[in-house]
Amino acid sequence: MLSFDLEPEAGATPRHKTCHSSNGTALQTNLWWRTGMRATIGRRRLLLLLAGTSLGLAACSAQQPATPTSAPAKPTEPAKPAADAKPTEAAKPAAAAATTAPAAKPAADAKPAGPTTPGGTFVIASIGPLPKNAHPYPDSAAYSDGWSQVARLIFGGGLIDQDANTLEYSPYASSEWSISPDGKTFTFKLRDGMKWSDGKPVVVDDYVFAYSEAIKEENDYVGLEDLERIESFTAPDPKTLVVVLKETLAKDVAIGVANSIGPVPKHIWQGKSWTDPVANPEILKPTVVSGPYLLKELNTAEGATFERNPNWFKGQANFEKIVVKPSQQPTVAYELLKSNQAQWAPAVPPSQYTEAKQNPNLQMYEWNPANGLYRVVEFNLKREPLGDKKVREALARAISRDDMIQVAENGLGQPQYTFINPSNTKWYNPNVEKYDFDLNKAKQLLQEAGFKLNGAALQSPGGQPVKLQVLYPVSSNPRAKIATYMQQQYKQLGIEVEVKGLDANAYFEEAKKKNFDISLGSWGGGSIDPDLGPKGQLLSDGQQNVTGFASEKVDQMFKQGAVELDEAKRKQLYADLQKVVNEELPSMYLYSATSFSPMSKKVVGVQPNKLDSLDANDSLTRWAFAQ
Amino acid sequence: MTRFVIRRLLQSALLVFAVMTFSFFLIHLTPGGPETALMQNPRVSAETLQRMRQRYGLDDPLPVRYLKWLRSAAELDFGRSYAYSLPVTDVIASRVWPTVQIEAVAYLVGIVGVPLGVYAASKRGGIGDNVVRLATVLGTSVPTWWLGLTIIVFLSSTIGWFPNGQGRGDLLDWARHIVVPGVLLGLGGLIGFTRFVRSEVLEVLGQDYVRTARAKGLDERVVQRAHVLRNALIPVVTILGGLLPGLLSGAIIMESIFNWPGMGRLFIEAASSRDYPLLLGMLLLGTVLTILGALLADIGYGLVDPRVRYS
Repeated sequence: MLSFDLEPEAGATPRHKTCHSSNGTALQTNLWWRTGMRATIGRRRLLLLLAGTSLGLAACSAQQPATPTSAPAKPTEPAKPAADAKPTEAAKPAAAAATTAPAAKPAADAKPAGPTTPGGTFVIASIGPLPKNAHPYPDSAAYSDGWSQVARLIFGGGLIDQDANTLEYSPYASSEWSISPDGKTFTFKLRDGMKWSDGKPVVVDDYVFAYSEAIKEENDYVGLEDLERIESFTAPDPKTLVVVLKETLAKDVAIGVANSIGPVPKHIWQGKSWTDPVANPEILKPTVVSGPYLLKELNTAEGATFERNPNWFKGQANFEKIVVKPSQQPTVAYELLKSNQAQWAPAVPPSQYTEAKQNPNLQMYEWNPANGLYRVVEFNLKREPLGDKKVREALARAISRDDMIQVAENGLGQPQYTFINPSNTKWYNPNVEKYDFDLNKAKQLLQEAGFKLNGAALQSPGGQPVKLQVLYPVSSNPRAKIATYMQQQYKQLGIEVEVKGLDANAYFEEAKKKNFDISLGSWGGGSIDPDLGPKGQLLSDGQQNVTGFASEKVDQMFKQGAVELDEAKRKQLYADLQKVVNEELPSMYLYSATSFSPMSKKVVGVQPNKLDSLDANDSLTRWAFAQ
Repeated sequence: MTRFVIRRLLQSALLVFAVMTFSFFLIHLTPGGPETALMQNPRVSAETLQRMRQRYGLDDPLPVRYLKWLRSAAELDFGRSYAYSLPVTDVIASRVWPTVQIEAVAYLVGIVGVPLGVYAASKRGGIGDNVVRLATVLGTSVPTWWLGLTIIVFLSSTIGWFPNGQGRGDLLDWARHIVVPGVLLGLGGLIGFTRFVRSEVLEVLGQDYVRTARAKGLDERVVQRAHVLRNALIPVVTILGGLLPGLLSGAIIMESIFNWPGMGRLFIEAASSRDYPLLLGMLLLGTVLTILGALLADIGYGLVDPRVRYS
């Protein structure tokens, strides 16, 4: 059925991405990965997309409050329809800026390029269902990209935020913050004048209340593991929050943990059920929030409507209303955009890329996010002959990253050689063995390993014909193409490949059970810190370790990296780690996908950033319709 | 008749039980569980997953889970959806109404096939008949999902007449949204009815009693109405009954393409996230409706055809 081919998983499985934070939440920093799911059609983006926009990183958001964009604080009366809009002064002709979307240019200023009109309704055509609820601390079943998107709009960022361009931290809900020399104690001063949407002040008690509920095991918060690294979370005085960690952690990791609590309005929630949406309708639709938008309506299948929050501490967002329309079919999301039923389709299938790019009414934004999605060939080291490194290297050298980018992504990607995305320049080490395409060398390596050609078929040293099974989720079109490509390439080595596509959950199950020879994985999203993402794939007891890779040295290095306070040493450590892992070659990293997202040209103020979503942090609140 | 109905109801109950038992095990044997996808999240610890399994009762042996489900289902408690945290009945209730609307439109469209079939049969071999036959062959051959996407591209995006999704404003807005998916969904029924009724009518036309009626000088219109149509339409009744489950269970493909927030999409969602309680609840609803539809068709058959009597 169609729906499966095109869109996979959309719904269902929580794909989480990341970080968000809504509340900053813990997850914040971290999150997700794999995606197998995401597969989608498309690509990566889905992630984003799905989320819609996700907010992925939410928590992170940051930018200082008063970014000069026109919007926020302008006293225009909110409700006035775009009509009257005088060219607010915002209009600084920032020249061509806005619309030409220079790929990842760090867009220093997000000024709209011409006169803009605060107000109006901005419609987002997202893919996949919206979240089932908007709990500030969702359980694992409710947590999804869709949730992150909604959370970011209604809950805002954490106590501090990570700038989407500089990736530096700055205060958000706090006015200042500090870390003790041992790296364990964080002190935050709560910003003055923050209000809930009902006009009541946001107080430290709202944070402490949130922490005390989220930490309860029976409340099943999805980010509980992060919270469990907190020794105490207290408010010594009405303006101060002190977070003490149980152990010293590397700075970025520690911030992720310490910044993982966002406020919950105690005056509304106290005494109500934390988990049962029947008893506590606030879970389905929070009525009192502290972010840029209020949630007016949330229906998983039909859509969500947001109205701007007049009490948001950064002033008022530009768009008066935001509507998210979920599409089950990615192709349909693009059609909505094309017919102006929506102004933004965060993710469209690669097959629509060219058409969308040529559409005179649309602006195509393209960028390579530091936490972008990347694809990986994962070898099952527990199965012969893949336990032999020579064989793995031969298999790696028989496939060309450039070809795969063409075949699977329409050319929209860049080769990746280690477990760190090449756009993640803070951590990426380019000086590693890359195992570049070299068919002759591949053949030679197999020969050295004792394999022989018998006619056209390769035989193992034991005389058995070599057959491999490549496992992937059918929901991922690009991975299906990679599997077929590998089948053709390996045929040239005399290896017969069986491609096996399964639905996403079944794929995960088989991968977990190591019921495959080669699995095609896809990861990305979340934090850019190496301790918060790829680690689980490489630790010998990692939850995402499907290859069976086990190296004491690697385990030890990751352990050290998690607690290293010296930034330079830490950087060197991860650079070495990338080298060590590549020497073992448990997985072959293929490429990271380029993000692209078409938007109506009427929308100005949009700048790609270093993260995987155009609306990372609060940037959506600064976009506006051109006059 | 009453005894017949009672006996059939008892049989139906057994059948529902058998189908649900089969479905239960089949669903739980599908690889991957509701927590599988979460394992991909590096921040979700093994303990969190374990708590989740316990909360959902996934650690019990399958037969125990089956008995538990059976017991609560007998009390009409179908549990809570994993993903929604809401009672399964509430989740289903929120999705049934949009599906009923679109299916009702489709039903009406489908019924147009009855007069069309009669018309084609009455013009057998003529231009009208050939046009109808050609159209129905074409209609059967073109996949509706393809047609749906094509229509979206032309009528919705390019011309902008029929927006996607469900209308929420006045009647006109509602109609603009529902007409395309409704008609497309009804197309299958329309074609089926047309061809079916046409062949039934042609068959009846060849019967001895029709010849007799004509021979005794009855007016042709009377022959058509009293003898041909009455007999030709009897089998249609059975088909109408068979359509009942579709009214509530929804259309997976059409709902996906047209962003219709109904049961079909919910089913896909539940299936791909392995939301067992929700999935079982929907399957139960579909099973009961199917069996009920067949029963109603049988009863209706007895009512319209005097030759059929149940005792």
